[in-house]
Amino acid sequence: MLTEYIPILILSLLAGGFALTNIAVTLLSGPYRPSREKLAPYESGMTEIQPPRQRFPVKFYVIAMLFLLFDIEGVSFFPWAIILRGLRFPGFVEMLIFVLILAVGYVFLWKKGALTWER
Amino acid sequence: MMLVVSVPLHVTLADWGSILPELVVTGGFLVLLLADAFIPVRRTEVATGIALLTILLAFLAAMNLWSHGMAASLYDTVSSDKFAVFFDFVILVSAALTALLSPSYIRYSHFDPGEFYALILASAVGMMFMAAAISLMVIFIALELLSLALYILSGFERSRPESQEAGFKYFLLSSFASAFLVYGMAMVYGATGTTRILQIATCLGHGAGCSAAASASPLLYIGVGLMLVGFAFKVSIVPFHMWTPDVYQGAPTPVTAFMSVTTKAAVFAAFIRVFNFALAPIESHWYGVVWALAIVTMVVGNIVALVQTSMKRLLAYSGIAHAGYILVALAADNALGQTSVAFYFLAYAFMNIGAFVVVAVMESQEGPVGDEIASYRGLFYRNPSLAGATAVFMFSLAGFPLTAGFVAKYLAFSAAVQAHHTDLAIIGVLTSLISIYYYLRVVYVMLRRPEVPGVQSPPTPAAADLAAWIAVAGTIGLGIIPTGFLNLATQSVTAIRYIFGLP
Repeated sequence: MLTEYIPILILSLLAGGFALTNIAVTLLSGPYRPSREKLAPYESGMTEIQPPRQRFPVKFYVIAMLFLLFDIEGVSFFPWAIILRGLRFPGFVEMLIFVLILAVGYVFLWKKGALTWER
Repeated sequence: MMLVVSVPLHVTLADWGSILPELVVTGGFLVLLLADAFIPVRRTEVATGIALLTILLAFLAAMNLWSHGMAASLYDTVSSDKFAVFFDFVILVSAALTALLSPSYIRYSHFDPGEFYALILASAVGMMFMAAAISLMVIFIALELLSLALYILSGFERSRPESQEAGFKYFLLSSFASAFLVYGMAMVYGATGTTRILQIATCLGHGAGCSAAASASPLLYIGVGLMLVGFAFKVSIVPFHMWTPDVYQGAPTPVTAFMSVTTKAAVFAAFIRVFNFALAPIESHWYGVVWALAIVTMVVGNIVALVQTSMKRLLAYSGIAHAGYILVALAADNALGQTSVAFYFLAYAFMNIGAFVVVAVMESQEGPVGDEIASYRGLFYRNPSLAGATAVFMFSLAGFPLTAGFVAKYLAFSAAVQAHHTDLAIIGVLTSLISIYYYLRVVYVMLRRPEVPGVQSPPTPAAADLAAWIAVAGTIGLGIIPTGFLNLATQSVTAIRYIFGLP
């Protein structure tokens, strides 16, 4: 009953084996002469002049998160729009309620200052 | 090509009426958000008032629904049978007690009351939907709704690193568990071809409405196992309990009080619907696992609780142990077992939130040390009424006669005996004997003479005092005259069993 999955198993074995073989071949055949520069995280980049871990403003993350929220909720309009004829008026009212709830959220975060860039 | 889809529309006003309590709480949530945005709810009283009014209205709506519930509404996804309404009562009572105990704590830790209550209500909506869900999808969405609000609430005390840690830990681990649950649901759907609980039951029971091989399919059993992991995590059953002490200790005390009862109640309601009804035909397959989980949970919860020094951690391990007792009732898989789960949560709402009222009062009076059991020393001399209330809750949690905890435990264990699972009942009784030690230790510490004699505690804040008295009244009332409430629980279980054609 599980026999139809055997090709998938063979494929994953092949894929894994290919990756492992490549790593093994490079490790075994290539020369390995480590030095300080080579072991640095960004070996081929610029020499760092100051520690790269600094504090930077993350204001945009709130905006990005809110965008995601409303974007995803906006997506749910599409299936609704397609079947709107079948849903008739009650379907329209339901979407109005949905939009109303969204709008309350929007008003709330606006008033709370989540959209102000400079604070 | 023109795409014409005609959808049969049979959502009627009665459908919306069947989720009226949930709608009322959602409305209260929106009102709180708007109030918080426009008239900055700096005054805790305003936010508390709106929250309490919402809960009261939802309670009235639920009372109305008790006699006019529908077995299935909204495209057979939600049920407003008495079982769901009973859990609505439990959730709303817990929310009301939480709203009463919160104001003094909110003032103590300076957080935004408007957002706090809005999130409590949002979470309550998720819980009520979870208790009412008769479709696996609605169970999952409701679980996400209640969890998302609780993640934020756990990390609500942003000034305290422990609270942030609790929020983050709960978020990571719990979303992982949600993934297990939804994966399991997907597999059960794959095996049976439906997400409706009633149809899963008929499919597995009579092989009707789905392929006859459904109950032989490995997909089904993998799915059931994954769902069990998901549910077990959410109600903190050993070995999925690791998050509980840390989250309960780190989260603000009102939040801990709320989630410790209501999350368990809502998830157990869905747990019963899925395991005792949808999956009842394959009980012999899941019983062994649930049996083992119940035993491990009772043993580990009670033994680890013995060495706790923090009151909130003690109550967390006590909560784990209680989840074990409730799991015994679920494993019994009979009418008495389901009745006892419903009754257990009503009792648990009073005694456990009551215990957290005391912790919240102690913390708002003495700061973070108020969580240490050692700081309860001499409480009988400093604040006799609060100490008396604590003693009642501890006796009830330990299961002494004449308290709600005794009746609840008695029902759970007798359900196990009735189902011929005497081993579970014996282990349950033995582990409750262990639990007497750590509950009574709290009472003993309170009875010891204070280090500085003659000092009185400041008076308990009025709202928290009211919450404590209601909880005491509920704990003792359910213990002495349980008949009325037991009758409600029995009716709720009869209603749901009738839907599934069980006696």
